[in-house]
Amino acid sequence: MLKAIVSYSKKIPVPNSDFSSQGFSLSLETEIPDRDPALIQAKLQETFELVKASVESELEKHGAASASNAPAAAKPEPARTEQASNKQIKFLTDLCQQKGIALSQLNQQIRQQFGVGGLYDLTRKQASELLDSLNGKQRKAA
Amino acid sequence: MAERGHSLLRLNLMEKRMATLNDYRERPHWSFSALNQFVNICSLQYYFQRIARLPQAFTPVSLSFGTAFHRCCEWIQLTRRDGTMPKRDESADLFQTIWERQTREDQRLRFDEDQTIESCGRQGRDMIGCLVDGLDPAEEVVSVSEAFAVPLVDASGESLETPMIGEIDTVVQKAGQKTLVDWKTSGSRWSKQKPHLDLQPTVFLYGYQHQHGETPGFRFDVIVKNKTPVLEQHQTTRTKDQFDRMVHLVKRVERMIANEAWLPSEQSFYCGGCGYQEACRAWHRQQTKTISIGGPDVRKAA
Repeated sequence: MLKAIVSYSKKIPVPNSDFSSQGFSLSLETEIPDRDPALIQAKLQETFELVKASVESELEKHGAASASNAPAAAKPEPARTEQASNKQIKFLTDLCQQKGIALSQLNQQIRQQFGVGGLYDLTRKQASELLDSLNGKQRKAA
Repeated sequence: MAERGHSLLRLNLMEKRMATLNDYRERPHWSFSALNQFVNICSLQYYFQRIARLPQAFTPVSLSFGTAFHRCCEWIQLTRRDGTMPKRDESADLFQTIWERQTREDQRLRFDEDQTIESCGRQGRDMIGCLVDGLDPAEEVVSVSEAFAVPLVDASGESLETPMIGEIDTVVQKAGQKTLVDWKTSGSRWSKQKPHLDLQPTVFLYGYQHQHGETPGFRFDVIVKNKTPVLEQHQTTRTKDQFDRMVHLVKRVERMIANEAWLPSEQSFYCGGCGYQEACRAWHRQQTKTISIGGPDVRKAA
């Protein structure tokens, strides 16, 4: 018998109150009788969706009254879903290591080229452009 | 008075539009606190908190107090950065406000013996006053709450997929020399060796060096919770070999995590303040395999 612990937590700012946040979390333990990986995955997904929906439902109840009073600055920023993945960045880092470019130099180039803080602030598209530009330099050198 | 500080912090975040620690937390990552928890505190506590994500039975007062203290220090540095030396009483009042709010936010707060919200408030006010008295007017504030995310690269040049992230309390500069500063509160004086052995300067100096290409110093500003609080400042530095050792440590820990190699740290100094005591007592009776999911960091442990 497999045992799964499925958790979901979310923190939101407290309206009109800097330095403050309120957290909502739920953990659910469940047993999974199946051995089939696909069935296990399906059961996990189903449980996770249940836990997530419960937390979101509580948030909605709790947040509905206070949201209207929240100042514009307190609104949560949109998720950085288009950020370059860790895999992409590892690829860039390894390429730079092979070419003898220091990480600080690479970050400097990123700041100049894209106007962001460093490697982990790149979007997927910017990471691709940077890769092209590094490979372009390599071709020129060759 | 407190309102002014709040506005300053909001303005600071809006003006700079820089990535915050929370932004970096959205991706799978390493941090000093995670590494330190696994290596120096308790690998089983690491499992309960970061893999199983169990809720803690209580919040130790030291954690809430430290959070409130840290937020007040942040305001003090932002005020200095904007060209004003914060006043002792004003800073102490702000601590009181933040502390009282913190105690309302944190659930199941557990106080040590002889401690109350009021006594902690008084102590915090004195400690903040001590910190303000010890500020060096010749020091320029370069940044406050500066987040970083850098790849971990070992001595052979191989990089790890998971980055190291962190947030530097403040960077100051004096006579052209930059120093990363971390604020701490402590129940007792630090030993002379502690700053030189601690993992935090290693992680933060590694992060700063790779982010900026500079090699600053590192300083712990420790306020000791004596009856009359004392400010201790501990300077330290790190070498390339210490950075390589830290990355090697992370690689080993990643292998241990993949193999679910967590053990209770029996008789640890930290057990009293641990919110997982019940789960820990039952740990050896749990003969189950665990699969945890949640967010982008989908982890399946065999």
